[in-house]
Amino acid sequence: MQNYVPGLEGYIPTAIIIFVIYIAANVAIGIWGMRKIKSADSYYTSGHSMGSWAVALAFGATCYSATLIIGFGGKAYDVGTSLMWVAASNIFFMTYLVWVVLGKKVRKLQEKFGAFTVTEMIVKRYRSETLRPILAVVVAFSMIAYTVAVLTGTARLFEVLFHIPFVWALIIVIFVIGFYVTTGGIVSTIYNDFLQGIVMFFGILLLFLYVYSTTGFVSGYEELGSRLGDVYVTMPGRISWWGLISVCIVTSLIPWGMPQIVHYMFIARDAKAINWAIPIVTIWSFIIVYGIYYAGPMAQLILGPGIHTDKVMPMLIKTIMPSLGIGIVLSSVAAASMSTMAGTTLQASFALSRDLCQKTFWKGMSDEKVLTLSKLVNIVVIVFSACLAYLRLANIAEIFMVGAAASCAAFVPILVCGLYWKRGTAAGAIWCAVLGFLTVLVWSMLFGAEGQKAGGLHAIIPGQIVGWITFVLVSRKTKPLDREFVRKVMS
Amino acid sequence: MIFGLSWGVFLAYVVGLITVALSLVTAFAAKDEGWKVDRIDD
Repeated sequence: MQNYVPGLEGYIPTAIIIFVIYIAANVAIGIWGMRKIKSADSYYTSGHSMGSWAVALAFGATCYSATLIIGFGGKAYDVGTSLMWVAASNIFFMTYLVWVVLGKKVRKLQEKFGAFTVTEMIVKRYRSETLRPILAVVVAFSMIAYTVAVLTGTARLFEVLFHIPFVWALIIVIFVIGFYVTTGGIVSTIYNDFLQGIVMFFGILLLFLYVYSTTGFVSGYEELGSRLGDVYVTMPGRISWWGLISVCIVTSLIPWGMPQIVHYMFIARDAKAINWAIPIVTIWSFIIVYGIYYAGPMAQLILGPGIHTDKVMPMLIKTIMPSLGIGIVLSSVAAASMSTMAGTTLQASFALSRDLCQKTFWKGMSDEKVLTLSKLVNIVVIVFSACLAYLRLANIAEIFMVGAAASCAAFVPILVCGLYWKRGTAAGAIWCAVLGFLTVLVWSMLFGAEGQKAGGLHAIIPGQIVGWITFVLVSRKTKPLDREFVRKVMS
Repeated sequence: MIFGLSWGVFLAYVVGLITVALSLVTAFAAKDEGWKVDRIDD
């Protein structure tokens, strides 16, 4: 078995120079975004000024984090080429279909109600103020969990690759992200996400090209089959069919029910921006996901067997790329995580300041005051998440999966039905959010965050079943919303 | 096996390429829509 022992390697000075330039660009965008913030509307929705490229790359960069590049790249090394189906389901359900089904409808509904947050849009859609604090709590919980997971992963990456202590890595990450998110709100976040999307694209493309030049495509797959046996290159690989299907569902459902991702549909300028964002984000995602799920198994040929899952991709990068390439790819991995974390912290602060404080407890608060409160809450969320990350209460994947599953259980049925089903009611939405959320929490506590004690049945699946059934049954049994109101919503 | 891939893995590549093609068709086939949205004052 090969052991990966980090030392003071030659790539570090070049990689650090590239990374520092990249961080400086992030901070500069934060300052620039701060100047563009003139109202609560521009802080929360960028005044709907974003074109297709900004919307597409910001969405993509937020969807895919180091969890994909490091975690799932390593998993593909373990499981085999069958994980290419995760790439296929991600690009179809998580990227293309989510924009076709939700994109324009969400954007129009947001404008019909003048909503600043996804929660606010749903509250107005179902005409229920009771729903607001419930969804705000779900969003705050899931976004903080997601933030803790990504923060831990990013800091861990910095720790391993740049050889700095975990606590200092945490401080660097929270300073950079905290600065540009708090000062520049959604404007800075979108433009930084855009920059991060470009860095990710070229980083993963470079990685693919270096792996391709080392192993080839057809010859690489043939070599894998001859060295590791048919199981490694056929379906379902070194995993059960149920396990493969679960991974496809869990990873593909996330953008349908996580408000920080749905929120990116709010910022699009118009229908044209959304129409053209679809191919841009799909092609971008194709390079990212297929690049990763191609490179992961090929690492078996380049590095040999027996590498720890989480160390496969960093080792692969170090082994086949020159210093400059390593700097770009490392920046792209950090970029992926930082863009994801920026979205989650911003959403947690939106939920606590706008939905819980301004709209539930202190209804007279002005938009100017809530803007200041949002920035303060954002700092609190980042520091609180960093403290939880420092305590290392659970592993990254567990925290991430519980947060994502809880949010999807509460949001997916009421969001999709809110756009397409006239019969949905406020009571249905309330019970769906409460029972779906609780199902995920109880299932995770009883059977483990990844359903380890339930044959690998992840909490997201029972959470979805309970959420959808509850929503439809309760809606059918309760008084429908006013027909004229529903007509306006659906028009 | 096809191109060194099993049929299952080959199909995963096909799904990806079809999705890319679909996304381009979706964008090119979209009509010029006006963006007149009536506010709902509730």
